[in-house]
Amino acid sequence: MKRRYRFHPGDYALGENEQFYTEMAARGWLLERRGAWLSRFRRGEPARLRYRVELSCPGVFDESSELPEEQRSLYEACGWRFVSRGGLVNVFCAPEGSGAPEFYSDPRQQADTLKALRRNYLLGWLPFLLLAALQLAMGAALFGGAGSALGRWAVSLRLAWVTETALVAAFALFLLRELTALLYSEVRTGLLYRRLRRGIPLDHAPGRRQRLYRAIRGALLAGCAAFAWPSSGRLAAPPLCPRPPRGPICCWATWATGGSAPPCR
Amino acid sequence: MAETQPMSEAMYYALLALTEPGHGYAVMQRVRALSGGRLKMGPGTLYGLLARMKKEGLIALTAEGARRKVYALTPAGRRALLGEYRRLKQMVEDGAGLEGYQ
Repeated sequence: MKRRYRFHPGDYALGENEQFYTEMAARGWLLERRGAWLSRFRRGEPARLRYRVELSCPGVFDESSELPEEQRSLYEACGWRFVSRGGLVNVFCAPEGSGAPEFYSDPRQQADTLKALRRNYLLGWLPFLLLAALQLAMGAALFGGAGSALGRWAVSLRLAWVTETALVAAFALFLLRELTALLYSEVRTGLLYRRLRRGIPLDHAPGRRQRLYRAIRGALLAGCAAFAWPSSGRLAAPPLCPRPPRGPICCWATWATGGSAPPCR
Repeated sequence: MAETQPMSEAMYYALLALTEPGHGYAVMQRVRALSGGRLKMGPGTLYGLLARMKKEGLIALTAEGARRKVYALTPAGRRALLGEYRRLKQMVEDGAGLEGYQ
């Protein structure tokens, strides 16, 4: 049996996900399993199917992110078939024209299902904040005060930028990518929530608005990989005397930091 | 005991449907029948409504079948339903002068 993996839209993009799976089914790829980043499809006959997403809304201390059994059986009694769950996203399917009713006649109720998703995104900031706070606290303890800690960190960053330009660039791009992804997810979820609260129903076929965003994210990832690749070899076998990377970036960095870096060879 | 805010139409019909104990899907079908096909609730809407009514103590589980849970009205639910019915009836009666109004 032929299988295919594809990146699916983010969890917040309910309508885009629905359209994505519907279009894949029309081309003969039926959803088998939705994972965290990728969805797995199996080859089948092109079919006119409707896919719909229902978000789980577990409490803060609930261990499972599954839909309540009762909710799932109610949907199935109405003609929707449960396909797969990835995180909070539950995917249901029904043939086109089968008359299976849409989940929500009132958009305001669908807005409430976004609660757990919004909470997850908010909690996503926690690791970054904790790490930064920890670094600052440690620096302050070691170097007597937050001000001098920040100063020393800035100096070491400049040194690292010169000696390990590619690695610092890779890390910076990675961090930037993660933070922009988080922020973007939060903003999109908030916008969807407000639209639903205002009574505007979910658009199940919104069109391809995400192209630009995904292109930017892809570019950041590519840049990250491009910078990390040359560094990875040197990290595996560190030289006795650190040698800065060759090329225009190194020379510019040397000039920018006032010539305090070792000369390129 | 007075309900400070009027009940939504969906809730009124759901309570009306549950004068006969039933599970979720049966409630959905009864609501459609009772409203003459006018009110078609989505399963998500109904589930949210049932969960809220259970939390407010208007309905309760009677028996659990294999997978389906059977709901019935509680005394509080009955009072709420009758109260709403009387309120609506009063509203219609107060507007009786509208018959033939252009």
